[in-house]
Amino acid sequence: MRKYSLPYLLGRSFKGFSRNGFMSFASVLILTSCLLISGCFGLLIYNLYVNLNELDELNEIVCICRYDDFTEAEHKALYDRISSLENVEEVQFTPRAEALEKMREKYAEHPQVLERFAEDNNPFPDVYTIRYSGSEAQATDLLFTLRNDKKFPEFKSVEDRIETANTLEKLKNTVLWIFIGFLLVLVFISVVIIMNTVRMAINSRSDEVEVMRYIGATGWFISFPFIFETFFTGLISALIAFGAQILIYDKTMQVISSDISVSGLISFVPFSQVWYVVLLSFVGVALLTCYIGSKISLYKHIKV
Amino acid sequence: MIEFKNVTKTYNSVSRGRPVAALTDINLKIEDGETVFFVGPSGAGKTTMMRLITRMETPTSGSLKVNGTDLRRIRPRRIPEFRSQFGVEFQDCKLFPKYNVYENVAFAMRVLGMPNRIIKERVPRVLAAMNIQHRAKHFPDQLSGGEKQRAALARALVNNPKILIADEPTAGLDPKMSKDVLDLLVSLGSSTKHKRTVIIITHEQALASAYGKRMIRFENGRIAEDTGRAQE
Ligand SMILES: Nc1ncnc2c1ncn2[C@@H]1O[C@H](COP(=O)(O)OP(=O)(O)O)[C@@H](O)[C@H]1O
Ligand SMILES: [Mg+2]
Repeated sequence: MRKYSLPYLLGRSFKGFSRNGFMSFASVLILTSCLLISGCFGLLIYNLYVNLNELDELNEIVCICRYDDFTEAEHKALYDRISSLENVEEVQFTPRAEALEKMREKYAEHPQVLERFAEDNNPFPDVYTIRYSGSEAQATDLLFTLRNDKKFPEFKSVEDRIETANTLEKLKNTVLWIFIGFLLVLVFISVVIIMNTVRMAINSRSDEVEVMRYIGATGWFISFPFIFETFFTGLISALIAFGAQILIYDKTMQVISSDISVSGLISFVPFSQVWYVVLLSFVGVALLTCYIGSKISLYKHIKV
Repeated sequence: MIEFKNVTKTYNSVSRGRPVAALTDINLKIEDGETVFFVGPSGAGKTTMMRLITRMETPTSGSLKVNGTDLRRIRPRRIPEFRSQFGVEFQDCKLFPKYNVYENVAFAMRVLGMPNRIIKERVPRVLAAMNIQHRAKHFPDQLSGGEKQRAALARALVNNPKILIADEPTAGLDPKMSKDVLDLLVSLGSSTKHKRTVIIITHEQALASAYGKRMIRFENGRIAEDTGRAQE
């Protein structure tokens, strides 16, 4: 078995990388761009998911009372009647005063908004929120009962989120598939670029490769520097893309959180919670891309 | 022993768009320890002979055996090991321009994974034997034609090959230097210490014939003349 020292092999790889200056630079540029585009898209989707999941639970039915002046006894009786229905897991009564209070707390720092929620002008109705379990059919049954004016004349309207839940599920899937398709295209582009870079490196060193073959170098010994050269490219690209990603994310968060009308609706996952996933994916995708690209190129252009 | 039986080699030339017959129906036996000249005009197929023997190319048809290895059957993973028994000097030297002479020669040992200790001991010895030790720290573009040839020869010899092949070692040299290089090569073949096969490829038949060694003349991809094994 032939033995090679690692510093020697790494040294050879690094020389190759720096010798191939322009093409290495070009492939770093393209790889970085691809990673960054995927990173932005990926983070966008991740935030979308988090926001969608933060929307109030979807297996809920919201019943809005017809009148604001039910007595406490009436409410107690209504609560018990709802609780006794089949598939009802939990019933939560939110008095209109409480809803108002919550709103005022939420916008305590925004006087213009607060104006709309004055103490003596409560726009909210009394609300029962029902959390249910069971199949979609059972949920439909429950809805049917609640919407029956003979059984529950107290309710002005009964809102479910079955449709919304389905739509959101579809939306999430669609977006995810678009992302995956996108990612594949970008990976493909990167692989082609790496293949081309490696092919040029092989051509510019064809004499060297020829001599090595004659001397009796194994395919591995010949290929190693080419593969590791692209690993330098990949690693540098991943690090640059990561740095740029931090800046872009920060900037976007700043812009969005400075606008109240949006910031109330959207919550952003802080970068500190996802940085290692981003970094690992960048490095992983970059190295994998480089490995595949250089392997294909070596297979095509270097004979044993 | 190198043994060609009805070997034909055709290249699929991309530029010419049709197959090019480089060698046709070659029959040849070279015994261990022989010194042989391959002569003939440019394009006759001499370099192709070298590429076949070292398994850089495979014969299109016929059988070729080198030291018992059937080169049409050899498994790809065994090829590097097979090639390490050769020392090859190229027509244009093919020294690495970014390495100095020492590193160029050491590289041939590094390729085979030799430990540094042995490299440090053997490279200076081979450089001295080729009389180029004073140029060890110089780069190829600082060397004269003859020095380049000797550096390239040092690289070919450093792994102590059983078969030494020199492709046009006199290319670009004046007659005096050409003779020196050929003398050196022939002496490497006559060394009694190792029974080394030496194949010298040259289009300068007149120079070659002075040594009284076996001479095989190629023409249009065929053997036109073989003086047979020299009487020692
Ligand atoms: N890689 C190749 N592809 C196509 N044709 C080649 C290749 N190598 C050599 N040839 C052709 O084969 C013939 C013999 O070439 P070569 O063996 O180099 O001759 P010599 O070394 O005697 O000058 C020539 O016609 C040459 O053009
Ligand atoms: Mg030739």
